[in-house]
Amino acid sequence: MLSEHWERIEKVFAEAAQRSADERTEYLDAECGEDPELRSEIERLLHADERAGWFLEETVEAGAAALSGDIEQLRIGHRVGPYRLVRRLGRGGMSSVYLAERDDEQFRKRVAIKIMRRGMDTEDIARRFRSERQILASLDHPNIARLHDGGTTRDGLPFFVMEYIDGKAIDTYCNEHQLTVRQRLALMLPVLAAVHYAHRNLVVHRDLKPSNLLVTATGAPKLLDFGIAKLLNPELTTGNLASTRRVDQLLTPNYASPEQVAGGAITTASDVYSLGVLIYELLTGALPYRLTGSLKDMEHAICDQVPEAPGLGADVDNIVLMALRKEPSRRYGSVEQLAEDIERYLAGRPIIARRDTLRYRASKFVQRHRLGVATAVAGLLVMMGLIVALIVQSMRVVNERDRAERERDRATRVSAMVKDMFEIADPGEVRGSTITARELLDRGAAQLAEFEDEPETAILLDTLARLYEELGLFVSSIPLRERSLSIYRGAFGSQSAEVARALANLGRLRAWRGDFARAEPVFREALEIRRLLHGNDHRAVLWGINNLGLILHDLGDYRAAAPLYREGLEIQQRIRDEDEAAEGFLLGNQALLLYDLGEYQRAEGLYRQVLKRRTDSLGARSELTAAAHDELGMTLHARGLLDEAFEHLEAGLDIRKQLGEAQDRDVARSRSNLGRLLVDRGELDEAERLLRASLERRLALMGEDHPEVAASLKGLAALHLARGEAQESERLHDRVLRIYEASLPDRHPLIAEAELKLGELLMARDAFEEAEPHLRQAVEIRQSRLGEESWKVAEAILALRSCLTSLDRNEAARGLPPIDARAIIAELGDEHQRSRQALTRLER
Amino acid sequence: METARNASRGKTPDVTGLLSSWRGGDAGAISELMPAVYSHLRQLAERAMRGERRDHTLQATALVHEAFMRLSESAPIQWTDRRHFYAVAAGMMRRILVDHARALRTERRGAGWQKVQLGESDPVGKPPEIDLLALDEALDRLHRVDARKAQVVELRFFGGLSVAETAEVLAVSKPTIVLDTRLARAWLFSRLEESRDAQ
Repeated sequence: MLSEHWERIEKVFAEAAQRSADERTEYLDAECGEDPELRSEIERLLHADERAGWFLEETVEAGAAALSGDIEQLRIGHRVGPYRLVRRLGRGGMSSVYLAERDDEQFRKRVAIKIMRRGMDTEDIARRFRSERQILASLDHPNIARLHDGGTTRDGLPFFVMEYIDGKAIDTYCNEHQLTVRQRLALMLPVLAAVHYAHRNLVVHRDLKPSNLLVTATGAPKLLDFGIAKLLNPELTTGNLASTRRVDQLLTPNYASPEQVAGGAITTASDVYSLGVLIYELLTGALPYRLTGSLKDMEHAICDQVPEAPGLGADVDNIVLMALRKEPSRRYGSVEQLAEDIERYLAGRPIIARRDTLRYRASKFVQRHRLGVATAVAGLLVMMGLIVALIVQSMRVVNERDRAERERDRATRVSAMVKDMFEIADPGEVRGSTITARELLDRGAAQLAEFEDEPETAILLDTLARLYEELGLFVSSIPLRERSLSIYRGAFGSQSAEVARALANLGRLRAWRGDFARAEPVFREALEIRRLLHGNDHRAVLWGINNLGLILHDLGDYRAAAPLYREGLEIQQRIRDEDEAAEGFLLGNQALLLYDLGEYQRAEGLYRQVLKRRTDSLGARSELTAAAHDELGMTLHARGLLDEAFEHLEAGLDIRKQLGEAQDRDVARSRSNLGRLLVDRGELDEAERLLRASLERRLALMGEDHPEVAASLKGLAALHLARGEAQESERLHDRVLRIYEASLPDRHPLIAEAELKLGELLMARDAFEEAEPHLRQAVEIRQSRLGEESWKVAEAILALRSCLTSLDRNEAARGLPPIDARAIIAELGDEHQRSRQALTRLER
Repeated sequence: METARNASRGKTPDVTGLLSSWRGGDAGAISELMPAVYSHLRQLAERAMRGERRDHTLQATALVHEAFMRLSESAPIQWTDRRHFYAVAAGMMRRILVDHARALRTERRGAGWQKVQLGESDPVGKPPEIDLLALDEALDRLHRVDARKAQVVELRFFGGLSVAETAEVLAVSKPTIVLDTRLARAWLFSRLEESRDAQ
């Protein structure tokens, strides 16, 4: 029977539980004022009620899970194929492994049998096993546990019969035998040989981890489960960690490579990575990163978190970190190379692995702490550390000519200089406060101004300059680059590789600033030095040609740029190294030149090639693929193919947006191009949004007088015209023209575009007198820059003739060169708006 | 479907026969019924393990429920029998899980617990035995204070029955079950917390 007390508790609890917190107190005061015991019990229950949550479900759940895990134990004594299960050796998320015996006539054969859990895709596994068993069973290596057979149990579970290894997991073995770092590395060598052997037989392990790596009593390491991971789930080769169910049971995230986690292709490089994690763990006793929390957190840790160096000396650290690089292509090229580096280290020879990830890390760091994003002092120290390391590393490049000890001296000196550079007067003053990356750089630059002119200073200048450039702070970077150039000239002479490199850096910077005229001689000099140092057929020359071609292109000297690009492509054909990127650049630049010349059809063809090439070699979502989409879109737009243009421009914008903040400038470019297209498609509001966003960003990045700013303004001018706001359009075109005149070299074809546009607008409001000089200018520039035969020349002359005719200056009109409208129609077709305008004018 | 195949292949226990024996006072019938339920539960719990680990809360209990349904389908049972059956089966489920947890604890305390040496060694969930055993004891205590509330917990959480089914089995209204559950859960939670703090 229920006690009275309990019944009372039940009743009061039920009442109180249904009330809000405020009402409860009141209710309890009234109900159990004279019974403090009852009240405290009720309050205790209400408190528990709030926190109990799912505890009943979870408790029962945990019990059920434990129960199901123990089921395999019941298989002992049963037969699988010809084998009798003797005892269970281990159990994991998806499988259990048993020791099994086969009673043959003569002897007892012991094997290990791995039986998969229910729920695997049994038939597929069986099919894949049949197709791969030959390969797997033929893996014959002393350090690989043989796979004998496989099949399906009577109750339908896949199993694999493997060589039985009586051993301990490698981490346990190392710890129990208290192996030293060198011994541990040496123990890994046969493992690496085994993995490399499998790789040569086209088998990737995919699931390397300590429990798959046993060491026998005689100290021989043996690898288990080769190829099994792929048999079990081929999706894991491209599976996304977050979306692949069961992945946390199948694949051990601790050892999974970023590409395994993020859904990239799994190659031998993935095994290199997993071996890196394994070695890291064996040497330090810890994983390179802490994996906790959700799959998403793990994915983040694996894909983004840069592992801390093991701290076992530079060589070991470099070896391990090289194996652990996020990008497969930046790891060791093969397991053999990793093994060789370990051998070199063990033999006391110099290793190959270099910390060339530093620049990458420093720039990543700086990107994360972009302008205005304050970084704590701890972050500042990290960055200083990176800068020191970056500089010390770049010393090696510059000082190849120096002797080793001088190099070391220099490294020490530079480190000391960096400390001076970032000297913080009173650390207490800064502690807890924050500092932006930019403030940090400014501080460094100010200190550097006091330093003597010597190569070390130049290295520091270059490093700071690069970091400024990462932040888009080109103006701050230029004086640093200029000074480092002059230091190099003094130190190494004008015809040195250092000077060529410094020139190229400065030229690029000036080009970024739109200062093409001053970039050109710098690039030209760099190219001359390189031709002198390397001869013509050299990659450095190729890049020099590309740079100079681009500058001439930017200067509007299209006729001078064209042969350079051609020469570049020829050199590329001859040297044919694997640098496909260079070829891609040259092709892309040539396509852009054709676009600028108005040869849209040829440009389109080339761009399609460029897009395909980049998509194939760099992937669908690379920066350069985005550029190809964007420029192909522009070309299609120019040809009047608005729908297809839209697709490409939108694709380009999408990719660029996804690539993140660092692509600001490109995103603005994409927005501008898409906005201009939308104006022509009549989607004016969206066009305006895009164009304004692009203008704003460009103004912030480049200031008022940059040609790219003008490009956004041109779009806005077209927009206003489409809205019937001709006056605003005219004002904007006027501004575009002034920007071009201020920022572009004389007689740049873009000036002609602007002159023509403005002239057309003036004609539209019958201001023919005003229009005439603009149109004349357009004709003249086009004639000299594009060649007489260009349809753009014809177009401009038609406009000027129309203007003169309207002014009744027929004589002057007749004095203009004859016009062949066929050139226009041949390029644009007779449906294009520009063709139609030309035809109308011809008929008049 | 794999489960259907398993079900048709496995031996179907004569549930009805066993139940009537049990009602007829044959205490042995329960222990005969138990392995049958146990084997079904095993199959189903095994399936639970292949679900995504993070989101499978409630999955095992849902499977337990499914086991009961399957058992009752395999033998047409009268309504009163079904009520009894649920009650008995939920109790059995509780016993199975608790026994297993107890065995696990013994194994771990004794020499039987050793490090896995072959194959993956990912831990399967947290060690459940303490919680489940403590819950079992607390549930016994609750039974002494208020037997129906303890039954509600047994049916709903060990038996996986819904509120409506629990209400049917116990022949009370659904709101009563809801309230019973809430009080029972709070009571159990506060007692478990107390005994944990006392340790």
